[in-house]
Amino acid sequence: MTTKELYKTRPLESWGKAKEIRQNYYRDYAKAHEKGGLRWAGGAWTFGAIPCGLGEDVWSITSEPYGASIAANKEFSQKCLEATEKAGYARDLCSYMRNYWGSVILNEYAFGGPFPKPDFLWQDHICCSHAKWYQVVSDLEGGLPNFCIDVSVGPYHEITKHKIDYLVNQMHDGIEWLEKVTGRTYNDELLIEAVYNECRSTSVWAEICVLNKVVPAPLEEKTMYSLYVLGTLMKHSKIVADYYEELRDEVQDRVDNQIAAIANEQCRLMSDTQPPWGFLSLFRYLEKFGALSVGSLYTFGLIGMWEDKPDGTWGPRTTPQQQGIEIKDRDQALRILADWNLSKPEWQHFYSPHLKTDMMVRIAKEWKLDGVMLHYNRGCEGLSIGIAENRLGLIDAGYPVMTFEGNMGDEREFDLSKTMGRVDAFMETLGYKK
Amino acid sequence: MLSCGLDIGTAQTKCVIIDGNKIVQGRGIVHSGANLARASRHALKEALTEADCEEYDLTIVTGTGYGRAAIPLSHKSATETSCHAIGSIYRYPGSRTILDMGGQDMSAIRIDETGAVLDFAMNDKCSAGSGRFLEALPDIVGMPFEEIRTIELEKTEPLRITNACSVFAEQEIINYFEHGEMVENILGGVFISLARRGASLLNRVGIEDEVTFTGGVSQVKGIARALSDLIEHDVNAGIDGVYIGALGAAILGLKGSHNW
Repeated sequence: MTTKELYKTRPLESWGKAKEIRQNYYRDYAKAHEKGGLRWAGGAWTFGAIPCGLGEDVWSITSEPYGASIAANKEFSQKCLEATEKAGYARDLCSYMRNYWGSVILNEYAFGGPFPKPDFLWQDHICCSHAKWYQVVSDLEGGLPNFCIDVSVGPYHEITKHKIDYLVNQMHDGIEWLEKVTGRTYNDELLIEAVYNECRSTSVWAEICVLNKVVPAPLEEKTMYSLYVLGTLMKHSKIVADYYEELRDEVQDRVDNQIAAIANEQCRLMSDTQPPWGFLSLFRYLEKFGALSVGSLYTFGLIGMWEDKPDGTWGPRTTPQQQGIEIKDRDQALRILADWNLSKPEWQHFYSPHLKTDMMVRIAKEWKLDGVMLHYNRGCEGLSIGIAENRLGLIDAGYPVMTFEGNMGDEREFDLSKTMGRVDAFMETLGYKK
Repeated sequence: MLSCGLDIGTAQTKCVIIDGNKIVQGRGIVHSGANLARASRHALKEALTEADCEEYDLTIVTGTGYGRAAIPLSHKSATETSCHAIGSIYRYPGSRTILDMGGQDMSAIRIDETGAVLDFAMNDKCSAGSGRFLEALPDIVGMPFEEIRTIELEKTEPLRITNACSVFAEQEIINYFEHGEMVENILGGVFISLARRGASLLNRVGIEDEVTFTGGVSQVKGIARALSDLIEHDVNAGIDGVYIGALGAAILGLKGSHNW
């Protein structure tokens, strides 16, 4: 396609609904006590389906999306970061965590009013920062009940029954702990429903990402950030699972009718790790070259669940309900939840950068990429670890790579004009002009 | 036919005028300062004087460098990455790896035999090891830049400068003076310290012979020598290295004509 022949494009019809779900999420959490409900806090990777068994009036706030929301508000983020530094925490820690802690220290909620104190903390240990995050939150809030599940059992291709047992036993302990700290009786039916929802929403998100293999891509990554985030808020909820099905149908319609994310698509890229949230205009800048990011392992694999399909391609993981599995009791639900989460693509690279490189090269091939933009994200040790190794692997596989340094949540470590200059050079070497 | 390349860097603005056979006819260099349009006019004026021609004699003007958008008289523009690649392959046809050390930016570029860019890496937020530090050096050590530029590394006993930060490195140098160290030995240490940052960037893109050193910093013989020692490769470098980006821009300006 030449630049003179433009694809049809139009805004997503379900966009408004996505915004509404997110807004309701933060409002419901803040107002939970007014409705006699409970509030809990924990990471976006935590086993959020489990507290669902406490009742339908239990609302959560997940930490990373909240830290990212703060980052997008540069003025408030600066206040939060400075408050955290004033309290004595180092500037090179996870920037989501520093934004979050700052919000607690200042007692200011990013969506208005004082920071709504959670009733308990429900977390898992995915990285060094997550292991300490809520210990500090508990201290800052005057001592909150805090339960953490250790997930360090190795990559999914080496999974064994006793590794699943290790997680499931902690989950059983966790449910007893939840009953004790909340005084509520646990409802296994609600847990089972949440596990079904989580499997459905995360598999459907992968289906949506698969649709972006098509040329022209129906979605670009800046838009996808606003959509995948719903899974990071409450992947176990019926609201999100239903919304993702509606979104999938709309994206399929865009594919069927060649509705493109950008009209002048010529160059397909992927990014990596969290972007600098306060500077998503960088993705719009790509469009001047007819370039777009069609996603990333981060956007695809943090919420999406994947498996090898019979034709050798990467596709959505088959859900228990699609396999005709009926979940009958708590233990079975927990086993499925543990196994499902341990297969998360974004979890694998904690054990070896080569596992991540393999997945990235696979995306580059199947999504027909022309190049890769890697964010050396100084704000997240967990997802940035091994990224220079990934770069070498991608180059070996024949994909041009541009790197840029930044920080997902601390604007002081990102230089937009310099990064745009680097995009200019990268595009020029790939043969694209504004 | 005359093609002009203007390279507006953060420290200096360079201008090169070439004829249709890519032979250099004139060159100019001035400090960039805050008014980039004025700097580009002054550099152009110098080059026009040397080439013995007028602005209306120029067929095309191509801008590059961080200030390229600020050149009112340019017809087209290209990034410094492409221009250093094109300039290097013309000046040293065997070039496959380039280190460009400018006022605030540093790039390592790997190219093929046609000058097409295969990979590149740039310094990120920190400009340690860039020309800005060299600009400050004459005042710190009390020696003119022209003299610093010609010091031979092998005639010094380099002291170890460990700070990556230019500001702290200045403090380190002053401390050495207070301990009575000789200026040449301190400078030997500075050369190695700066070359180490360039070597690190080169290793990110992979080093393939021949290595060409460009940008303002490449004029300093001691740094070029230290770089060669660190990477264990011969390095093409010379006094005209500062003009390579502008030369590349001028050559790119010829693209599309029968001379390309």
